Amino acid sequence: MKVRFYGKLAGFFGSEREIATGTPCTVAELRERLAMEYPEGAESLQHKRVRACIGDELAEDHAVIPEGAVLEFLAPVSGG
Amino acid sequence: MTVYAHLEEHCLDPAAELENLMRKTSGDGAVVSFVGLVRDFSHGDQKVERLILEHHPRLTVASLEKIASDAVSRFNVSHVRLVHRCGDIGPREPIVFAAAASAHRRAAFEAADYLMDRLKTEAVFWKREEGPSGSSWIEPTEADYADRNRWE
Repeated sequence: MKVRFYGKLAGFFGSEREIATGTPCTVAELRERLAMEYPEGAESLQHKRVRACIGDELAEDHAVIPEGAVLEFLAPVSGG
Repeated sequence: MTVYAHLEEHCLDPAAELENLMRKTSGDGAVVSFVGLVRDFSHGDQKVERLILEHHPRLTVASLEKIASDAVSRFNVSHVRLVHRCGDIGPREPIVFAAAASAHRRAAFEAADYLMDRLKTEAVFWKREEGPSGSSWIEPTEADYADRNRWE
Protein backbone atom coordinates (compact mmCIF):
# COMPACT_ATOMS: atom_id res chain seq x y z
CA MET A 1 0.00 0.00 0.00
CA LYS A 2 1.16 3.50 -0.76
CA VAL A 3 1.28 5.91 2.19
CA ARG A 4 1.95 9.63 1.83
CA PHE A 5 2.99 12.02 4.57
CA TYR A 6 2.57 15.80 4.69
CA GLY A 7 4.05 18.60 6.75
CA LYS A 8 6.46 17.66 9.47
CA LEU A 9 5.47 13.99 9.16
CA ALA A 10 7.34 13.87 5.84
CA GLY A 11 10.52 14.70 7.75
CA PHE A 12 10.16 11.53 9.79
CA PHE A 13 8.70 9.11 7.26
CA GLY A 14 9.54 10.59 3.85
CA SER A 15 6.93 11.99 1.47
CA GLU A 16 5.85 8.59 0.21
CA ARG A 17 6.40 5.06 1.39
CA GLU A 18 5.33 1.65 0.16
CA ILE A 19 4.10 -0.49 3.03
CA ALA A 20 3.55 -4.23 2.63
CA THR A 21 0.51 -5.50 4.51
CA GLY A 22 -0.47 -9.16 4.22
CA THR A 23 -4.10 -8.62 5.21
CA PRO A 24 -6.38 -5.59 5.18
CA CYS A 25 -5.76 -3.36 8.18
CA THR A 26 -7.35 -0.32 9.77
CA VAL A 27 -5.96 3.20 9.86
CA ALA A 28 -5.21 2.77 13.57
CA GLU A 29 -3.35 -0.50 13.01
CA LEU A 30 -1.21 1.02 10.30
CA ARG A 31 -0.53 4.07 12.43
CA GLU A 32 0.61 1.87 15.32
CA ARG A 33 2.83 -0.19 13.07
CA LEU A 34 4.50 2.90 11.63
CA ALA A 35 4.96 4.34 15.12
CA MET A 36 6.74 1.16 16.20
CA GLU A 37 8.93 0.97 13.13
CA TYR A 38 9.83 4.67 13.22
CA PRO A 39 9.86 5.65 16.90
CA GLU A 40 11.36 9.06 16.17
CA GLY A 41 8.13 10.01 14.37
CA ALA A 42 5.72 8.17 16.68
CA GLU A 43 4.65 11.15 18.77
CA SER A 44 3.98 13.33 15.73
CA LEU A 45 2.07 10.59 13.91
CA GLN A 46 -0.11 9.84 16.93
CA HIS A 47 -0.91 13.49 17.63
CA LYS A 48 -4.67 13.98 18.03
CA ARG A 49 -4.81 16.56 15.23
CA VAL A 50 -3.14 14.39 12.60
CA ARG A 51 -5.70 13.45 9.96
CA ALA A 52 -5.75 10.33 7.83
CA CYS A 53 -7.33 10.55 4.38
CA ILE A 54 -8.26 7.98 1.76
CA GLY A 55 -9.32 9.29 -1.63
CA ASP A 56 -9.27 12.88 -0.31
CA GLU A 57 -11.83 11.99 2.35
CA LEU A 58 -11.24 11.87 6.09
CA ALA A 59 -10.68 8.28 7.26
CA GLU A 60 -11.46 7.42 10.89
CA ASP A 61 -9.13 5.22 12.92
CA HIS A 62 -11.43 2.22 12.63
CA ALA A 63 -11.71 2.48 8.82
CA VAL A 64 -10.34 -0.52 6.94
CA ILE A 65 -7.96 0.62 4.22
CA PRO A 66 -9.21 -0.78 0.88
CA GLU A 67 -6.83 -2.77 -1.26
CA GLY A 68 -4.96 -0.49 -3.67
CA ALA A 69 -5.91 2.66 -1.77
CA VAL A 70 -3.47 5.45 -1.07
CA LEU A 71 -3.48 6.51 2.56
CA GLU A 72 -2.40 10.05 3.40
CA PHE A 73 -1.38 11.30 6.82
CA LEU A 74 -1.75 15.06 7.22
CA ALA A 75 0.13 16.84 10.01
CA PRO A 76 -1.89 19.61 11.74
CA VAL A 77 -2.72 22.24 9.13
CA SER A 78 -2.42 26.00 9.38
CA GLY A 79 -3.06 28.75 6.87
CA GLY A 80 -3.35 32.51 7.18
CA MET B 1 -23.10 37.25 -5.42
CA THR B 2 -19.60 35.90 -6.00
CA VAL B 3 -17.32 33.55 -4.12
CA TYR B 4 -13.72 33.51 -5.24
CA ALA B 5 -11.02 31.33 -3.70
CA HIS B 6 -7.61 31.02 -5.27
CA LEU B 7 -4.28 29.39 -4.47
CA GLU B 8 -1.51 31.69 -5.67
CA GLU B 9 1.87 30.16 -6.39
CA HIS B 10 3.84 33.24 -7.38
CA CYS B 11 2.77 36.71 -6.33
CA LEU B 12 -0.11 38.05 -4.26
CA ASP B 13 -0.97 41.70 -4.96
CA PRO B 14 -3.43 42.85 -2.27
CA ALA B 15 -4.17 46.15 -4.03
CA ALA B 16 -5.12 44.33 -7.23
CA GLU B 17 -7.27 41.88 -5.29
CA LEU B 18 -9.07 44.71 -3.51
CA GLU B 19 -9.60 46.56 -6.77
CA ASN B 20 -11.05 43.43 -8.32
CA LEU B 21 -13.50 43.05 -5.46
CA MET B 22 -14.43 46.74 -5.48
CA ARG B 23 -15.46 46.50 -9.12
CA LYS B 24 -18.20 44.04 -8.11
CA THR B 25 -19.71 46.03 -5.28
CA SER B 26 -22.65 47.66 -6.96
CA GLY B 27 -25.28 48.14 -4.25
CA ASP B 28 -22.94 47.32 -1.40
CA GLY B 29 -22.09 49.77 1.36
CA ALA B 30 -19.07 48.07 2.88
CA VAL B 31 -15.89 46.23 1.99
CA VAL B 32 -13.65 44.76 4.68
CA SER B 33 -10.31 43.27 3.72
CA PHE B 34 -7.51 41.62 5.66
CA VAL B 35 -3.94 41.11 4.47
CA GLY B 36 -1.66 38.72 6.30
CA LEU B 37 2.09 39.30 6.04
CA VAL B 38 5.08 37.12 6.75
CA ARG B 39 6.67 38.34 9.97
CA ASP B 40 10.39 39.16 10.26
CA PHE B 41 10.62 37.35 13.57
CA SER B 42 9.08 34.19 14.95
CA HIS B 43 7.58 33.80 18.43
CA GLY B 44 10.94 33.01 19.96
CA ASP B 45 12.37 36.26 18.55
CA GLN B 46 14.25 34.25 15.96
CA LYS B 47 14.88 35.99 12.68
CA VAL B 48 12.76 34.58 9.84
CA GLU B 49 14.44 34.55 6.45
CA ARG B 50 11.85 32.55 4.49
CA LEU B 51 8.43 31.06 5.10
CA ILE B 52 7.73 27.86 3.21
CA LEU B 53 4.07 27.04 2.72
CA GLU B 54 3.58 23.47 1.58
CA HIS B 55 0.22 22.43 0.20
CA HIS B 56 -1.72 19.36 -0.88
CA PRO B 57 -2.36 18.89 -4.60
CA ARG B 58 -6.16 18.80 -4.17
CA LEU B 59 -7.20 19.29 -0.55
CA THR B 60 -5.70 22.77 -0.21
CA VAL B 61 -7.82 24.38 -2.92
CA ALA B 62 -10.86 22.43 -1.70
CA SER B 63 -10.34 23.80 1.82
CA LEU B 64 -10.10 27.39 0.55
CA GLU B 65 -13.26 26.97 -1.51
CA LYS B 66 -15.15 25.46 1.42
CA ILE B 67 -14.14 28.21 3.84
CA ALA B 68 -15.07 30.95 1.34
CA SER B 69 -18.43 29.41 0.48
CA ASP B 70 -19.24 28.83 4.16
CA ALA B 71 -18.65 32.54 4.81
CA VAL B 72 -21.12 33.50 2.10
CA SER B 73 -23.70 31.07 3.45
CA ARG B 74 -23.28 32.20 7.02
CA PHE B 75 -23.18 35.99 6.72
CA ASN B 76 -25.27 38.46 4.79
CA VAL B 77 -22.46 39.30 2.36
CA SER B 78 -22.56 39.85 -1.38
CA HIS B 79 -19.01 38.83 -2.25
CA VAL B 80 -16.12 36.96 -0.71
CA ARG B 81 -12.62 37.00 -2.16
CA LEU B 82 -9.93 34.76 -0.71
CA VAL B 83 -6.42 34.43 -2.12
CA HIS B 84 -3.72 32.44 -0.37
CA ARG B 85 -0.06 32.08 -1.25
CA CYS B 86 1.87 28.84 -1.29
CA GLY B 87 5.54 28.12 -1.83
CA ASP B 88 8.56 30.13 -0.75
CA ILE B 89 7.72 33.56 0.71
CA GLY B 90 9.98 36.29 2.08
CA PRO B 91 9.52 38.48 5.17
CA ARG B 92 6.88 41.23 4.84
CA GLU B 93 5.42 39.63 1.71
CA PRO B 94 1.66 39.06 1.70
CA ILE B 95 0.58 35.53 2.48
CA VAL B 96 -3.20 35.91 2.43
CA PHE B 97 -5.91 38.28 1.25
CA ALA B 98 -9.37 37.76 2.72
CA ALA B 99 -12.19 40.18 1.99
CA ALA B 100 -15.95 40.47 2.00
CA ALA B 101 -18.45 43.01 0.68
CA SER B 102 -21.91 43.61 2.09
CA ALA B 103 -24.75 46.10 2.19
CA HIS B 104 -23.90 47.07 5.78
CA ARG B 105 -20.56 46.93 7.53
CA ARG B 106 -21.16 44.39 10.32
CA ALA B 107 -21.61 41.41 8.02
CA ALA B 108 -18.41 42.20 6.10
CA PHE B 109 -16.38 42.62 9.31
CA GLU B 110 -17.66 39.35 10.70
CA ALA B 111 -17.14 37.46 7.45
CA ALA B 112 -13.51 38.61 7.20
CA ASP B 113 -12.89 37.64 10.84
CA TYR B 114 -14.52 34.26 10.26
CA LEU B 115 -12.47 33.62 7.12
CA MET B 116 -9.24 34.16 9.00
CA ASP B 117 -10.21 32.05 12.02
CA ARG B 118 -11.13 29.17 9.73
CA LEU B 119 -7.98 29.59 7.63
CA LYS B 120 -5.69 29.47 10.66
CA THR B 121 -6.92 26.05 11.71
CA GLU B 122 -8.47 24.40 8.64
CA ALA B 123 -6.79 25.59 5.47
CA VAL B 124 -4.63 22.70 4.28
CA PHE B 125 -1.14 24.18 4.48
CA TRP B 126 1.99 23.29 6.36
CA LYS B 127 4.16 26.25 7.35
CA ARG B 128 7.86 26.10 7.94
CA GLU B 129 9.95 29.06 9.02
CA GLU B 130 13.56 29.14 7.97
CA GLY B 131 16.17 31.28 9.69
CA PRO B 132 19.83 31.37 10.75
CA SER B 133 19.28 28.64 13.35
CA GLY B 134 17.51 26.23 10.98
CA SER B 135 13.88 25.56 10.21
CA SER B 136 10.85 24.92 12.37
CA TRP B 137 7.25 23.91 11.67
CA ILE B 138 4.50 26.32 12.66
CA GLU B 139 1.25 24.77 13.84
CA PRO B 140 -1.94 26.36 15.14
CA THR B 141 -1.92 27.35 18.81
CA GLU B 142 -4.66 26.56 21.30
CA ALA B 143 -5.66 30.23 20.95
CA ASP B 144 -6.13 29.68 17.22
CA TYR B 145 -8.42 26.71 17.91
CA ALA B 146 -10.33 28.75 20.51
CA ASP B 147 -10.79 31.55 17.95
CA ARG B 148 -12.10 29.02 15.48
CA ASN B 149 -14.52 27.59 18.04
CA ARG B 150 -16.11 31.01 18.61
CA TRP B 151 -18.06 30.37 15.43
CA GLU B 152 -19.54 27.01 16.49
